[in-house]
Amino acid sequence: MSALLDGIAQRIGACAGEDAGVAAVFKFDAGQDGVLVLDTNAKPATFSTTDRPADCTMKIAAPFLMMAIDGRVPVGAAFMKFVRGVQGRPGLAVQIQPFLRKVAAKGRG
Amino acid sequence: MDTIAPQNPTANADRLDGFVQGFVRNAWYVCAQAREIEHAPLGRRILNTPVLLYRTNAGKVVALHDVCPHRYMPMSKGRLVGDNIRCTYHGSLFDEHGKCVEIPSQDSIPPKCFLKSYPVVERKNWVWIWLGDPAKADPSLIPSENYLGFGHEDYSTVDHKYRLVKGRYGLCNENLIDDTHISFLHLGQFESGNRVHTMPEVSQEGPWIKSRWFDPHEKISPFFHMLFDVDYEIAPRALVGHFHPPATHVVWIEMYNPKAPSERPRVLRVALAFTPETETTTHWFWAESRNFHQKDAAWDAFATDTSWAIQDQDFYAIEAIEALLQSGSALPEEVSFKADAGIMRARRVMNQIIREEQGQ
Repeated sequence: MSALLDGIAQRIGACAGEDAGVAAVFKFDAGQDGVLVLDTNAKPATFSTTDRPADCTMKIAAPFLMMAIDGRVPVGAAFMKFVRGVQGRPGLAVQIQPFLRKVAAKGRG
Repeated sequence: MDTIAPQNPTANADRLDGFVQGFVRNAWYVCAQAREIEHAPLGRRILNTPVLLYRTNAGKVVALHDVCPHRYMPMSKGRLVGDNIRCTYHGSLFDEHGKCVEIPSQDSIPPKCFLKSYPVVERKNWVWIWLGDPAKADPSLIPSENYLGFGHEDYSTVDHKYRLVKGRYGLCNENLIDDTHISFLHLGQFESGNRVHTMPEVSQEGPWIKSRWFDPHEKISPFFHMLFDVDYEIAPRALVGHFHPPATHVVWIEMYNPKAPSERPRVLRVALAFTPETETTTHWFWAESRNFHQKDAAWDAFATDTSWAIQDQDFYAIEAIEALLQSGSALPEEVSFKADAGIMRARRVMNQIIREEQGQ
């Protein structure tokens, strides 16, 4: 796993206690950098960098995912520009965005 | 007010013959989002005319000329006294109809001491103003709110926003009518890039200039998978644009189920109004609605983020062209392509309306 993906995991992990508003398994597939799996079925949500099946998999490069969760690009705009493929239930990729906005807001302090 | 003075609006005048020149005055223009107008003065320049907007205590929208006839102080710098507006310079007080009701330094009121009043109509999210001949200000000429997507029972409004664009309104109109820029300026976001190879059908019905682009086998982008919540790889898809001269557009995307193409499509509908501020700047009003995932906050936020990001790219192009037009640089003769049929028709219609209004 890359240092960048590790940094993303830490940011998301810091918000694991937040209500995600949706219960599902999400996978961010960052190619050679690895994967980040977020499971919001659990309370609090769990996350891991071990690959496993997901309800929704989004292919997005790690630098672009970081841009979304550190607030440099609005989450929705980042998904539009940088998600290169969606597998599983595509609507979940929208439903997880409010949680990622919370991550971005927390990162901005 | 963030007004950008034109550097050199007449630069390259001989190269701009094809562009729409001048304003249509006898028309309804959006002057503000309803939520922008409060019980407080708001100054906004419309068709180069300073306009004062405010709400009375009863909530009625008032539109008056934003110039005190005494020493030309903008009335929007003043303050409301009940439903009247007092000039901040020498205290002249005008009522909601523009009639002067008090001059603190004298008892008599000169007959020419008044503010011109303009017809305004509030319809859902937008407030419309008529700066032309008031006798012709027929509210039925305003596109219906259902058509714009406001308040239609099958649609819920996503959001509505406003921005002042540093570009002439003709550039804004043409950006909306022009389909082929989508494959380049918005590369990879809207579609697979094949729009540029298929021409839209262009027609005219009454005042509306209509275009419809349809691909029965569109490769659906990841963005549209998310936005429309569909997993089709290939699907029938349409992009429809209706232009109501001089400044209103309704654009919508229809996403059909390839397994059941006769089903009602998922539709994302965008209404845009481009109101000239000056010859080279435009008030850009946007509102979006959809007929699926209604009143869903996650989709509202996603649609707003993405729609505004796409429009940022349009602003980038429009403002770059406007800066060049005003730079005084020598320009080559403008060339148009076959795909510009809608734009050319819109220019002809607009120029005809302006000529007729000017009595030419």
